[in-house]
Amino acid sequence: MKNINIPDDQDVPSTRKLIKSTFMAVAAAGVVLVTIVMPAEYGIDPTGFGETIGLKKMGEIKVSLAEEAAADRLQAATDKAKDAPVVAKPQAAPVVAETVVPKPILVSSPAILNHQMQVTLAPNEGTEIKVALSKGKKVQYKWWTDQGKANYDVHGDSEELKIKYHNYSKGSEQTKEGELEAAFDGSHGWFWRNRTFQTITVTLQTTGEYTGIKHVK
Amino acid sequence: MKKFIQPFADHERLFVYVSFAIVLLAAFGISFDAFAHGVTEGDKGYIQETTGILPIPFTYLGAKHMMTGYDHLLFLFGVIFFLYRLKAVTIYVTLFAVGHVITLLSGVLLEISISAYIIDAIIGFSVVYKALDNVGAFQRWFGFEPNTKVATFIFGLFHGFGLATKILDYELPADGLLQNLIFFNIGVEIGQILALVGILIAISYWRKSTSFLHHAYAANVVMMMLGFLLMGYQITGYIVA
Repeated sequence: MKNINIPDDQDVPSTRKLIKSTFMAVAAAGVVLVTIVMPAEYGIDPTGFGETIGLKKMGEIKVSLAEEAAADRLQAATDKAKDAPVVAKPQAAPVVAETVVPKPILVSSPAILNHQMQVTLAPNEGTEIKVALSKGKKVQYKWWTDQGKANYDVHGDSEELKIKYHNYSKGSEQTKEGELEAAFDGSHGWFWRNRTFQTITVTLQTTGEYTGIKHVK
Repeated sequence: MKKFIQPFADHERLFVYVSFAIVLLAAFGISFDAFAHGVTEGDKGYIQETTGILPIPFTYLGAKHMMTGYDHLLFLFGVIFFLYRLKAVTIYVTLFAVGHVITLLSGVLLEISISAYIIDAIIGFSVVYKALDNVGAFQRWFGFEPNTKVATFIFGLFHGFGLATKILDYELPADGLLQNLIFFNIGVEIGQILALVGILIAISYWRKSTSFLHHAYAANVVMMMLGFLLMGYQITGYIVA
């Protein structure tokens, strides 16, 4: 091999220096593990340093996401096993959740529904409101929080069409309004998650040609 | 003081075949998402849930990405394999770093989206290149050795594109993107230095023994195999996807 030089004795560190370096490296790795990696990956923070630098929150979010993903997989498996029916069925009368404050509203035509719904989210909690909407039909919406921003994800799904997730928009806002046009027959709507430190309330107003609205817990 | 080293003693041949078999077995057993790159559902999920400029989290994510980026580390290992002086190591690692910083930043900010499979296949090839260069294959086959500093810089550019592709996949919110990206880059460099320290300590132990030069050839052949494996995996992914 032409490209190598034999290392001179002085090029390679002495054994003593190497052993010392190894100890230091192992010690440093241990410190990094306990103060940085464990908080950032698992939310475990024995020294409290992870919280100070803000990495503990990262770990907590990751752990909660992993738990939710595992719960979803479990749910999907049991649903598959039970052959569960479609969750959102088009209904003649609007389905109303416990926290709903229904407002008497004049409808412009029989096919258009109006609702105002409210959900409460504890810190780190997420929830969904969905409408049953046929392809091409639209729903105008506006939502706002009582304080702080909510992470939102406007999406649709359909068990019949085997569409698990179709994204329309997502982001993080205190209020948002817009129009959702269904890309396919199915359940379409809003997912919010509260990543603030206080409980928030999200209020949603909807107007459109949907056939049912549901707070999906 | 240069010396010629004989390739492949008998026991080395056996060692290489066994390594090959292990690598092949590992290829079927290991989940490749974890093998090639550090992108996890957890990190991307976390990024989707946050807003604003977050210096420490993004620095952490950059460092983590580099330390779990086996293809990047493999290339670095090959680069420093025969570099004994810290000055030489610093020069080459800096060339690599300058290359990947350029494309990491420009790739994300200009949203240059090249197929991740193709870029990762080129990164796999960079490992093959370095292993071949270490054993003097270019002199033997082509009569000259490509300038190693230039090659390190150029492959650094490609490694940076690989990093950029993964970062684009995170879908960072536009709010605070530039600052978060810079912190991510700082993290990448910190991760690189940490990984290098580990690699240098380990290889220094090895260099002290006579087995280093005896097995240098075989070690580079194993590295070349890993490089081809990475390439094969990425190219397969490109065709299948």
